[in-house]
Amino acid sequence: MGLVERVKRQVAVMGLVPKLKKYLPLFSKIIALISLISIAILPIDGQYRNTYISENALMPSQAYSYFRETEWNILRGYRTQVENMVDLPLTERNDIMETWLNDIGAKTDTHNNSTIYGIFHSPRGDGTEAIVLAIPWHNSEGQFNTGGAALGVSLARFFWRWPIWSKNIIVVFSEDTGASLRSWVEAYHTSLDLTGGSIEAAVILDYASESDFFDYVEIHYDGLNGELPNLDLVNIAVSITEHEGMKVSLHGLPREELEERSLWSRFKMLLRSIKDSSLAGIKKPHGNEAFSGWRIQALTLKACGEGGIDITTFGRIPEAMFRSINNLLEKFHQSFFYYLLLAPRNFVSISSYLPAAVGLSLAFACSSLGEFVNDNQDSIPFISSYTLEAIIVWFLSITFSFCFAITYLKYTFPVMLMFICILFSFIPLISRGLPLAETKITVAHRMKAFAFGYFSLVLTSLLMINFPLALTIGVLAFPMTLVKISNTLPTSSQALKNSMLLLVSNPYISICAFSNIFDSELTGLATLDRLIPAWNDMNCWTWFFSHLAGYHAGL
Amino acid sequence: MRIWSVVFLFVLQMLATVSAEHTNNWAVLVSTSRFWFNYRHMANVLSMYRTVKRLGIPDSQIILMLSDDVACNSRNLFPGSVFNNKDHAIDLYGESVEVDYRGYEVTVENFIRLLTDRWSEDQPKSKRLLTDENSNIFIYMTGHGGDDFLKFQDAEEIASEDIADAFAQMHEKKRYNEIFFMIDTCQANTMYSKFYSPNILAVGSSELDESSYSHHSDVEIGVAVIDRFTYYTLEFMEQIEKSSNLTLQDLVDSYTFEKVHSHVGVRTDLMERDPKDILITDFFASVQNILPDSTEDLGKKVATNKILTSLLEQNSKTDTAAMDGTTDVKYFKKVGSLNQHLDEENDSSNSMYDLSLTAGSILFSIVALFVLHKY
Amino acid sequence: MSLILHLTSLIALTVVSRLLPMYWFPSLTTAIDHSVEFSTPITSYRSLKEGLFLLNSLQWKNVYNGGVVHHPILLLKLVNLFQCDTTLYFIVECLITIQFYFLTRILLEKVPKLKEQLPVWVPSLMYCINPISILSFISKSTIIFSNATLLSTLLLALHHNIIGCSIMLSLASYLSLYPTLLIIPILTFFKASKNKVKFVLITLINLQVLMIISFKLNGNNWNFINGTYTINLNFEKNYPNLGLWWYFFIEMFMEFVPFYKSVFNLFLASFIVPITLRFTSTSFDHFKTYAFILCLGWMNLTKPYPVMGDTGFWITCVLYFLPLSNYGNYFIISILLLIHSIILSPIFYYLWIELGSGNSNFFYAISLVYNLALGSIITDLVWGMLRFEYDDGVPNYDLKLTQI
Repeated sequence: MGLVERVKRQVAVMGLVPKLKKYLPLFSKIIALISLISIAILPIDGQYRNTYISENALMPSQAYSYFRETEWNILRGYRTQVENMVDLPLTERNDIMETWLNDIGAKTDTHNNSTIYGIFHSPRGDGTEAIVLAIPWHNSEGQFNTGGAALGVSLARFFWRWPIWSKNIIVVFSEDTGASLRSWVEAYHTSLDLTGGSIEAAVILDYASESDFFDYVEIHYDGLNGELPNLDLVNIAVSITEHEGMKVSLHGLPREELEERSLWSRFKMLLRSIKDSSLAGIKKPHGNEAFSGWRIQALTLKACGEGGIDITTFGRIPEAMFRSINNLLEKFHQSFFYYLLLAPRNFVSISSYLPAAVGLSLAFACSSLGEFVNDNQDSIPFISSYTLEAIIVWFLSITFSFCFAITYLKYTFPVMLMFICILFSFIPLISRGLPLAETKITVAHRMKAFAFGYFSLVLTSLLMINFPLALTIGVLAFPMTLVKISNTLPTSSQALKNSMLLLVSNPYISICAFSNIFDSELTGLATLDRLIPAWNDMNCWTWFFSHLAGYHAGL
Repeated sequence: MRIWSVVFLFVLQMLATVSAEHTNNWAVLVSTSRFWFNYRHMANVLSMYRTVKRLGIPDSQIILMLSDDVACNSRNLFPGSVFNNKDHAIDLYGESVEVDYRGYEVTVENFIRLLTDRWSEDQPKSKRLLTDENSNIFIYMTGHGGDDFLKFQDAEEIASEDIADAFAQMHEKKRYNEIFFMIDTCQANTMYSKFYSPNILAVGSSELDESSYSHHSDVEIGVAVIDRFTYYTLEFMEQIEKSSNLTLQDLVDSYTFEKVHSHVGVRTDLMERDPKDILITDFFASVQNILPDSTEDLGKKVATNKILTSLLEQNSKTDTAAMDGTTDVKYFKKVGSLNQHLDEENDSSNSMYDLSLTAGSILFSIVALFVLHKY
Repeated sequence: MSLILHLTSLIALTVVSRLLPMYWFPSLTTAIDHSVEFSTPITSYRSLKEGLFLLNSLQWKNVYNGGVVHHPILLLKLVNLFQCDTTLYFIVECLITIQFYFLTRILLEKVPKLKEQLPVWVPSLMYCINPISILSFISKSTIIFSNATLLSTLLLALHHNIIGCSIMLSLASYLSLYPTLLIIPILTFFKASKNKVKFVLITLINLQVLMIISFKLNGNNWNFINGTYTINLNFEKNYPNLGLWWYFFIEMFMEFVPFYKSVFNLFLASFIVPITLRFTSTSFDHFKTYAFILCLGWMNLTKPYPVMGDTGFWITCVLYFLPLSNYGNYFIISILLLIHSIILSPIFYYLWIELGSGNSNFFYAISLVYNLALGSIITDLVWGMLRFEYDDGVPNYDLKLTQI
């Protein structure tokens, strides 16, 4: 306390407070810059760490994997059958699969007439926990998952012959990687009768080709709402895949870049991690997203390319992963739930990257404070009609955007939305000729202050839940703080500048632009369409924007 | 003055007792870690169990503390079996394994109570360490350890001071003659560093800041099945028979860094005898079951209950010449000193009676051997 | 005229601001009732409903037998009288709003300089649009009954109405036990020692009467004392909440638990007398009210089952300290801490309980931040009062003083 007191006195003696007040907007920019730099330096040696398996029980690849030549013909047999099923309707495919699973010895059931699953109860375990092997009939690109389905059923057959399971094994066949799988997961936890205990981990198989051979394995692990599986699960997947002699690709890294281990490659991977995680749910799901929110560690294994590695090798990854997870006692206790991967075996943990988003939040807070105290605003008392007016506008805009989001859920109108957004951005330009009352300026400052304060709060609350999203929207929306309110009539260039800044920081426009530039999968207004299923992530930002638009309307 | 003489006599008596030879052997075998991935610790301790049992210590004198049941774990590919080698040659869990403390009974408290024998009245005898001042105890521990501690059950730890204090209590309560303490864990040598009671010899698998490593994994079971230190201890033990002349020094010499991958430590300063003079069988075998093959061997190997020792003392006087090896001479000298002390109270007229009893007992042994041989 | 206008608009606002969210999101009540911030075993609506069910079921002889109900029997009977308990909640909530209005009217006269800074309708307005109060109301936490009685106690004490005040205080104590301690700051409102004795006696008699009525209503069974008060004192239901107790007692060895429970209770009680004595022995009359509010804040900070509803209520009371606001050192920091911790605490709870990616330390850490914010507000208020006293009622902000 004494130290604080001393600092306070020193500050008072030097008259720092007024000076500091003046520089608040500058501080805001500097803090934002520092946080960006602190993210950018993560790929430098010494900033990141090598991954390691922190849970002793896992012991990946300690047991020899036996899914080899002996299973070849069984797998091929199933695959020939599956190849004929491409044109069959879903229910018939499921019926055939159900017969197969029953023949092997599983108890089967269907959910919604669309998802079939079989449970192999562990012969000597207590049956309270389960591991899931999920096979979507169609993968994220909409291709028929021939190899995956054949692998799924032959692995089920193979697993059932081992007496070593301490957890039940559930094999799930769903129509696609998105809604149908997710509805099964939800039903499993709520309404299904045939269950096999709490699911500890899930592996989704994606082997879309009919070929015997493939080249490398893609691992997808980004969950919804910034959720990630326990790092140990990703680690064992990577370690097993490499142990079996395959290359690992994260975040869809192309084949030719897999070998790269440089500062630049790590930097690109960092950006890919942030992008994929913040757009998870908006992008086409790989299957593992379906398990988010239920304390299930899930990832998707995807066979890619044409090469010299045969399909049973791919099957050995889930085999070894299952044996490894089987060794677990209860759940994944240790390791990290918050991380960014820079390479399959390099990661940064939350303590290294969190300060960046905290910084952004702080930058907004500084801007907010700046709006309160600068431009002679601090002479006006806090409890005043201006503040009240600002609060009311703020509250109304939140309510409005909330209603708007609900309406948008029911009626989709992306082009229209885009148009409205652009129109809003140009309000300063259009309205520049209108005279501005002196009192309105204070209200405008107050509104900006509340807007930035609110935004800072939103960023803070997103920090832990969804760091990548917090960072992305923080960066994309930051131009907003540069919008200036002038006491005199704004010149056309300044109004244009304000309009541009608003245009850039508009949530819909910037998210669209962001995904168009950085992600080949999402083009045009596709992102907006996809926002609907993922609207929850977005509406806080929407609120904010509407709020800001409202404030300009107030001008 | 009188008081002092009494004290002096008392001290003399104490000394005589301490330096006396042992008449019975006990083994305390402890694995402390839980969970399937610690399979090797269970295998370690069961291997030791098998060895001491093979060398003749009966189950009633082995306290086996097994912290987890890996044999019946659902992850075990060979239900009911535990192997310490990937060749699966020996099933350590086969038949007649008597586990005295299992699973969650293996706690620090129970271990300390066992050593110091502080139990409630209803503790069964089979779960107690019923040793006396003539007992040689072999204590083997394995698990996960660190600097001056060994983890029990993923929940608690025992400190090296705890064990040292327990040994001191045992010494005060005359619960042992000699202790051979062996420990296989990371930083194992720290665990015996705090001992301060006499007649304890300790061997540990690794130095401070050094890990103990597993020897190999079984690819079918999917776990490491034995630790290096224990593996090479067992390798050495395999050549030991009940009649073996090998000493603890030979055992210690058999460990090399190339084999164990850590620096094996030995602590000899508390022990009166030199490890060179201590037979492996002094700790790993039960003396009662060793029977003489011939009269020469009689002197070499004997060790029996009190009566028999005292009787043999007479015999030794005549047979000393036949004996070879310094150990044995020393041995008999000690027995002699004890028995002289005892004899002070005895009437010399008993000597005739003693002689006949000795002869009778030898005769009885031969007959017994003959009968046993028939079976 | 303006009085009626104010009151009607405040009541209307209270009703509208609470009715609309309840109407739009009917599931909100259950959702908030399940959050640890707004509901504890002793104040939750779930437990109240269980109590009502048991009260009306013929088979069940005694509501406290199951160990689920921790509400006083009179409250159960009262709620039972209403077909729709929401009506009762609305009546009580409007009472609180109105009482705040009248309390402000009195205090504007008593507290110097408050008149210039605080329009008479502001505290009531702040209470009725405060999101915390709204959410607490929607969760139907029974804390509002205690809050209403506490507010009446203060109001009647300012009116020197001995009998009314003692009835209200005994009701508050009856509802949630710890307000019994507030008898000490309330005593100072009555100057004559005759009145003091009278007040204490009447309060005690009232409490006795309430106990006996409860005893009768509970089927001649004293077990309601265990069910409602012992559980509070002993912190028998150790669930996570915003308070300082739960984490401590989860981690503790069983042997020490009774000792530390008494220490925690003593800790709560021990500051009531010093605060009262220090601030009522001055020449400033309004410090009595301040002392009462400080004691209330202290109890909210240290009691075993705190809820957000307490804070929403107390923060409104803190508005009366407005003349001292310039003395505060850390008000902005405290308010920011409070807002952030209130927003982050459900998030961290979610990460811990639902997602499993966080752990209990996350939630406990944020509840510590929350308590730190409350604590620093209390400290600032105390400092402000001491400075006010030092400056003899004439604020001199240029003078810099330091705590030693």
